[in-house]
Amino acid sequence: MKRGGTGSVTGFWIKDGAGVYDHCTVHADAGYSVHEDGSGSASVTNSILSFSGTEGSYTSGNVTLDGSTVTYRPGSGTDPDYMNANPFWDGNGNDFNSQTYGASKGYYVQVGDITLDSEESSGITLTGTWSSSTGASGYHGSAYLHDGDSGQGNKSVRYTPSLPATGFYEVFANWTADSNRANNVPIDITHENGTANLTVNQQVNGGQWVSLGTYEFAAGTSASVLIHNTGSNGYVIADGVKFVQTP
Amino acid sequence: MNNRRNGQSSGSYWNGDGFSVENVNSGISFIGCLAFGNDDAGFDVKPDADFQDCIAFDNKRNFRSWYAMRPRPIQTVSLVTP
Repeated sequence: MKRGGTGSVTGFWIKDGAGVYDHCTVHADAGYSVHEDGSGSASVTNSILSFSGTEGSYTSGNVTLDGSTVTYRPGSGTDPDYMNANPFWDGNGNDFNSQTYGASKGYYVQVGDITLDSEESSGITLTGTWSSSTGASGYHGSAYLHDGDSGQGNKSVRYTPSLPATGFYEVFANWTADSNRANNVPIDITHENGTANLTVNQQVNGGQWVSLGTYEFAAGTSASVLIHNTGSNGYVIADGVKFVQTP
Repeated sequence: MNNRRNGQSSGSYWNGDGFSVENVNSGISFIGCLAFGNDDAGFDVKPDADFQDCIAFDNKRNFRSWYAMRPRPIQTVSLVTP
């Protein structure tokens, strides 16, 4: 008698069905990562399939690895750089998280940075009268907007990104700094778990992406960043915001 | 689950499964489950089932699905150590 019959050691084995494996990590010394052993099919997406050495095959049978799945063995592919890849893992802790593809088990899909500039038409909502200017350096894109230091409480710029994936994103804002700017510019960030009300000093830190914190956002257009001039004590600048997904 | 060397019928093979579900069942979800050291499957699942944050290692076949089943493991780690 043999352990489990005569077949090879396998991560995912399926017979005659339709296996859909998403965000999986399969690491082995030998055998098959995914084995379709009948007349069915298996598809693997957003996953990491890896071997510790030269032995083993990623697939057997009717198995499809789409472009979102990565494979690796020493000398081939991109090393997922597992965190503490301990074969005697007890299931606790961060073991086998990938430091290359993101600190999560399975292939972490990195979303590119999403930047919204004030002079764009999509995703930008102006309330009240804002003036475009290039008078100060450090703006993103071709210009920036300012409120003219007037109409406090009646002017705002809302940035509404279209986020491709639910997850955590770090939010940044850029402005042009000057001594005539408000040092108490209110910024409201609407995220998955509520609204964060911040205040920034636009007299300093101009011409750079200033972090406004990391928040969880849902995919779609429910998130927003609102720059407004309620109670502001100087010029309020609305230049651009950026969302950067974090692992 | 750690079921080792559950001898099947004579002349067959060691059929020690960890989590085993027959196809008369439905609405099966495995969440945060760990299966290791089994002579056959860590998870031997015949019906459609969901897997979330499950781990299987040192089993002959870590995750085993049968026939018309549609496993949907999410963030599942399968570690094979023959």
